[in-house]
Amino acid sequence: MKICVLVKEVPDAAVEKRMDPGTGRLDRSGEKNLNPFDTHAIEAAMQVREGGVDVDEIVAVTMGPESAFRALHKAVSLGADRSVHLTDEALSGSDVCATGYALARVLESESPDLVLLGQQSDDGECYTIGAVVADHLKMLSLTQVIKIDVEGGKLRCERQAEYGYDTVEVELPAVISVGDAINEPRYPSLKAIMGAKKKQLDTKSAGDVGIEPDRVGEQGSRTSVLGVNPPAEKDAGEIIEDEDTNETVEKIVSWLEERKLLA
Amino acid sequence: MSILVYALHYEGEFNKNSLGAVSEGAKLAKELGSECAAVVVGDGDDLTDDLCASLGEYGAGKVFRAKGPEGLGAPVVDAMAKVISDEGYSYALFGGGLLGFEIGAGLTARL
Repeated sequence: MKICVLVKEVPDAAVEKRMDPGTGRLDRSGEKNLNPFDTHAIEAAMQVREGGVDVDEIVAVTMGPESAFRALHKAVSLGADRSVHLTDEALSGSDVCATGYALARVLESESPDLVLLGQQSDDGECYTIGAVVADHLKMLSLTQVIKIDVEGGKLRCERQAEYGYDTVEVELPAVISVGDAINEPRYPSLKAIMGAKKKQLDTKSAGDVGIEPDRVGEQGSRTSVLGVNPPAEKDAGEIIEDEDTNETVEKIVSWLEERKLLA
Repeated sequence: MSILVYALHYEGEFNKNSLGAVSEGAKLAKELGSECAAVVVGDGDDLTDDLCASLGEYGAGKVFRAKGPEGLGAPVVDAMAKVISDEGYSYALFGGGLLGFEIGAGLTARL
């Protein structure tokens, strides 16, 4: 089995998220890191391998600017065998659909049996790229998967659904977006961090994977940002310190009663 | 400029977000001078004529019922893509929720 894991370089969690009002795009300047949700997808791939399934290769794949190679190094330090970096100025400004199309073209060149990705990116937070990629690849797609078992060449996935949890059997190949409850990602060892830079990293341009120029970038994106507004400001919440538990409980109950929240 | 809305159902009832989406679709369709229709997908006996017809109370002028497994995005994408292609709907609308994200994204890629 060959597993490709889609990963993304995002602004570090410590960097305040900001929209660039001039471009309508997210301001991605400042410190960057591997999207934390993607670490669950890499860990899921590792656990499939360590669970006894014959996994030939785990390949981390990203689309992003030149700096995104650092996210790939981290993905490799977490267990991927090699990585692929799709980078091209023509891709800049791609919306979700255009990005999904471009990633699908890279994945086609890899022919994976299973594509894994995190439930969302920590910057765009769209939750949707997996479904776009899957439709382009004509593969089945599942989101919010919190358990994966490989049985007889098929996947048995438990997923969060609108009404509780579903168990779904999926034929391979498939695109699976994992929820962050699926696992606790491991920390990379110092040896793995140092060794990551030596692992194979293939850099590809849009033309290398047959991307049609008019389907990507700002021109190839059918969405446009008409305005950017900050979220409405909320009043500061009330913090009740637990110095005396009985008193704290009384305060909480009283707070709830005042708002008629107790039956 | 007509509008197509996906209505999710579970155990003989439509999801509240979906009903809200049908109402919103009907309101927008009225503003556009067109019609709002709904798509439902299921393989059980609970997707009855009466249940489908109840979407009319929320403004759906027509309901397309397709047979397919429930809870998955792909069968709904297939059904909506066919209805849009055959009947010429201009907009697709979804209630919020996981399945709405999944179907909306898949449908956009397909079309």
